[in-house]
Amino acid sequence: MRDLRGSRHEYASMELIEELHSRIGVSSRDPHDANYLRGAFMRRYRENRNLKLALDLCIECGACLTVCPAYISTGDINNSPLGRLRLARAIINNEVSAEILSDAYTYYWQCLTCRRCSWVCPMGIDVGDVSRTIRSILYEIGLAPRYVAGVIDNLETTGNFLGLPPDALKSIINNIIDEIRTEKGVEVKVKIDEPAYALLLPSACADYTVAINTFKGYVVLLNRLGIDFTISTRAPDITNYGLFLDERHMKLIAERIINEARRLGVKLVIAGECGHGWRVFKNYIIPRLREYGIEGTHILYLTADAIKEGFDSN
Amino acid sequence: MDPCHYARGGDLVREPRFILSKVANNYSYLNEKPELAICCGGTSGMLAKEMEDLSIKYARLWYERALMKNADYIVVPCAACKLQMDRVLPKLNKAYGRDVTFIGLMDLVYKALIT
Repeated sequence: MRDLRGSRHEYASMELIEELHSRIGVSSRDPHDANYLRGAFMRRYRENRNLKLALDLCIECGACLTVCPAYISTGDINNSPLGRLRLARAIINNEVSAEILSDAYTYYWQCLTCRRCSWVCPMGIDVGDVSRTIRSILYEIGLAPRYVAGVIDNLETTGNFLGLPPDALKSIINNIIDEIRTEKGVEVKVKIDEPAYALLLPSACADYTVAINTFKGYVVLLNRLGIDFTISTRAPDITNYGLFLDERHMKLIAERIINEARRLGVKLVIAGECGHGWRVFKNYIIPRLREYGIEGTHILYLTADAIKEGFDSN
Repeated sequence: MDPCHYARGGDLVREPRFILSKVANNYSYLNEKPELAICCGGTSGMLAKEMEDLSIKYARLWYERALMKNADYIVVPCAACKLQMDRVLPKLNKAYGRDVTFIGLMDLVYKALIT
């Protein structure tokens, strides 16, 4: 197998970066301004307590190396929590060379931000957070993965991962209703863009494509529970790649969902099966929804409650 | 399988396991400790085409564990996990001569529901 140690994302075009920058009020910079990187990093080091604690407390005991999937599978110390913290210290302590800049782009984007390391670290250091912070600075100087920037652009312009237009979304949903009729012999109700008690947030990247049966599960369960729900073609997706690149984009994408929940007058927003989307939903979207008297939950909480309350699946 | 973002900071571990116990007869947990759940390798931008080979390398960790447990299906209540499995399982199955597939948790609820 070829050497994968240097695997890295292709860069997003400057045109796309500038467009994304304009949406969060960042002025675009010289893409290879290494000194800016160091200045921005020092600023975050002073302002972000997590980052400061991570760099100051790591004793390089290596506990993280026993669990990091990136390190275990590649054996590359640069692609490990310990290596990523070493690289962060190199950025603070040295003139940032073109090589360090290139390594930063490679290795902070090889991190899964899965946070497995933080559970075994005796200091509780979350290297995923360090990776996200440095990615955000790299993005400020114009270095971001084409794939991630493209997904963010889709989410900000269409509200969904794939950039599907409303007609395509409606046809997928209608197809799901037809298949449920054939497979289960029942007529289910799915509102689209209409006011309702609840807004359902599927995960467009999978639920509208490879995981149609997951979507059917949501629909049949909610119908069975008698929950009046709607799907919005403006905000049909819980996916939020802003979490991986820059929290300002995360908020922008999240606010689109909050606005749509308010516009449709719902009282509840229901998250579908999506890991990182749930992280954003639970920690950012639900507190924001509550400011408007709207609640948020997960489809799996509803399902578990229904079973506990004597809901009979047979 | 416990998605990373459910298991570490998501407070969403007990319910999926409880539901699984009601909709599947023969199952085991990929992770004995959910807080040490192993990542599918598809999160954080790794679904990019040019990162596929590296992410397959990451994916071998859970794949080999699933083989040891003789799993036919990996239940993943997460969209990124599903996309990752959709692209890496055919390749891993070919390399290992096995036939593992994936399914969402609500898919199993759908199958179990008699309406």
